[in-house]
Amino acid sequence: MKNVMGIIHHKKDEDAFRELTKHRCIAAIPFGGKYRLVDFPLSNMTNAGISNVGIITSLKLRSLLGHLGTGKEWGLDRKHDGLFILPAASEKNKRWLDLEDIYANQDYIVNSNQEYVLLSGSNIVCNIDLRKVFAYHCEKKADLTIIYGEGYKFLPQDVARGVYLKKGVNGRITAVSIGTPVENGVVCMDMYLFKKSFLLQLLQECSDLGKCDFISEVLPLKLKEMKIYGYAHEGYLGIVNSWQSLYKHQMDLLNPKVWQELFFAKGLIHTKLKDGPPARYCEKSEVHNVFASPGCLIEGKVENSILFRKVIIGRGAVVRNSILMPRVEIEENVTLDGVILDKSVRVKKGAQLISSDENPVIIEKNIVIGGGL
Amino acid sequence: MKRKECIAMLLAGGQGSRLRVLTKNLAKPAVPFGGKYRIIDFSMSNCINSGIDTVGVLTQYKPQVLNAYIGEGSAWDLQCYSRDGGVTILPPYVSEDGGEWYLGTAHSIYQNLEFIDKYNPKYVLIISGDHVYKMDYSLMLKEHKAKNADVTISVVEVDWEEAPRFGIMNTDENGRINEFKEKPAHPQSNLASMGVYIFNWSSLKEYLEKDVADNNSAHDFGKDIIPLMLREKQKLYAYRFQGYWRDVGTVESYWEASMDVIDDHDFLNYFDNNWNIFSAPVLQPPHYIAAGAKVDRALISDGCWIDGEVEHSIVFPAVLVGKNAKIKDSIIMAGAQIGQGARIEKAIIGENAVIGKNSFIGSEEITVIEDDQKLKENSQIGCMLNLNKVEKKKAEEIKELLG
Repeated sequence: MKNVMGIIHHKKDEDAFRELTKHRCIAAIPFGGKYRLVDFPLSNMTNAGISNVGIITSLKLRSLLGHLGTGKEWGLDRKHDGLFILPAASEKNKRWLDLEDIYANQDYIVNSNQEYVLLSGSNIVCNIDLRKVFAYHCEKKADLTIIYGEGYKFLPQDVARGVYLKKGVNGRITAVSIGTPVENGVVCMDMYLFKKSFLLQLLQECSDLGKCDFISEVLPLKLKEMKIYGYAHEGYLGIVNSWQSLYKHQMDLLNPKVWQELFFAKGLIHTKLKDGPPARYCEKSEVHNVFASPGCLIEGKVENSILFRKVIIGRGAVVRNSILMPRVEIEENVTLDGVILDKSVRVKKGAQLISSDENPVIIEKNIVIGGGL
Repeated sequence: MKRKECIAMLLAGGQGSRLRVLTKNLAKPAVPFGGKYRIIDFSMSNCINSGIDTVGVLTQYKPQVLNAYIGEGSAWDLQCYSRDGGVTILPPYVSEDGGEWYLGTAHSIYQNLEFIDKYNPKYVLIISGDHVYKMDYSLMLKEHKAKNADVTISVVEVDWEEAPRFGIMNTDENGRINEFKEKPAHPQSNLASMGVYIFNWSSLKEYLEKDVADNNSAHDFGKDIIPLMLREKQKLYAYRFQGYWRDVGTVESYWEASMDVIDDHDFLNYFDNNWNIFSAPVLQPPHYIAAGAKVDRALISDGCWIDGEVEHSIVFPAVLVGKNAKIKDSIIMAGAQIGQGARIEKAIIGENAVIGKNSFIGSEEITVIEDDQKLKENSQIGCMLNLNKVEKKKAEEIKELLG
């Protein structure tokens, strides 16, 4: 895979994540106790031996930059190649995959030594062996290989943002549709492999003809004239398109099979490593079906939940079906059910926060809840 | 090279044979502790937290794991490639005149005179990598300077019954040491040496040169250098350390210190940002506590899968605990697998050991299972295996007591 470079493109539909993207880009949304969304595509690339990765990001990049650092955790702190942070051409628009963003960084692509490009979205939670995709791509002599998931069901509110594919014989992709489910639920995983020359040609057309969205404007036109193949990803897949699916896919981690598959099966998912003692469970703590991280201090009761680093659960508190991000503090006798608390939220003594339907309640970073006026 | 006021020399070459199989494959400072640390993390973190940015680590006994763990020193922000200082690993070496193993603690420092001279420090802090404690060396250095001492030795009060196990200092009312006794039968004081010394480099160098010429010397700080300096009326002062300090040199003290860490919520407190204990983190996903699991007073690390009961124990990363397994008062090292229905009590289970289903491990004494041991189903291991008939009956009773 030395001959492949990676590009992680900038997802622009930040509004779908409400308060969670107020201070961060989608790539930097915390996920699964100690990760951020970008860890999955990035680790998949570096686990396959890709050593040159560009990440396109918007201006809300502080948490992303802090997380990526020099790229050391992914082995990207290198003399040759390594990690490159690339600016997006525009902050927000309706495009699924904005070629203008890539066009703006054309020099980086031209100057890279690799012959192939793996382009990926930042919101795809999976553990995939990209070496197999590359072998498939070469075997088929494809112009473009799109990685897809089969039998995938979007949440109702995510369907409109879903990109579906139609498979023909021999694995060729024959049609692409947006927002209309197809039989067998073949969904585009927003991961593409092609030759650099192919990408540069697309970028030229994008600039000449003004066709800037790869999914809605370019791909449908290319299906006939080019050899576009699909590669089926087997194993867990989470396409995180909204705050609802963010909640759902994290809750999926409580399934032992998913835990095993996502974190151990093909390669470890790398992330920024931090110091901190093991989680401490105190006397009278009751914990069932919980995914917990270092530095947590648990004195109360926790069920069916994800605890990020340094979360404190006070005595007599009951936490169910919730996701608590780093440094959340739950004081004594608090009751929580179905909530996502962003970083450093504090819930004061005796407060209750219970979701009334299947959707979680989201509380923005640093908010203090309860305790009267 | 920029002159340093004080550099640290960390003695990490000891075998630590009293830790039995825990040091079979690695040096004592590299022994894992507290769920995600190694013992050396405490001394290394104390150095950087005290503002000492140059540390020489003297290694000799089975250093591979330790060397790999220290790496470039970035876990403690002591990068070896930083322009001045950082961590340097110092193994014994040969030169034009031949070479030899480190014959004792003092000799190991003597062999590295050139390394220390390179920094030309005013003071040298000598510490070892086998104690669990949080200490601000800068306060000790301040007192060393204030008293205009030749040597300052950090001491801690120990129980009088324990005192005969330690090197004991007798001091006058100003804290000046007038006598040093290694493991005295009838101690006159309960101030034990913590193995933390501050020397003035110029005088230490002189004494090291004197010591190396003495064929009767064991070349040890406690046995030779300190007594010699006392005889020659040098100014040796005791610095009283207040706080938790444990020598974890035996299986028993290692186990007790581990249990202390479970009970004392403040010692390994992540929320204490003033004195973090740093370590080289391992990449593992968060741990999972299954619906049927029970966890009571325990430290659990990343990557674990807990489906059984864990009580008053420390669990290192990537440990699997099967359904209905029960672990009590124990330390489970990284990567170990505890089969369904197994019972483990008062034991230390080595790295990557596999304990078969329904096995029974434990007795009144601490049981240690070696790294990579594979125990079949229904294995029974404990001190009771070596007992005679009368004692076996007693052991059966213990077994019943344990359920």
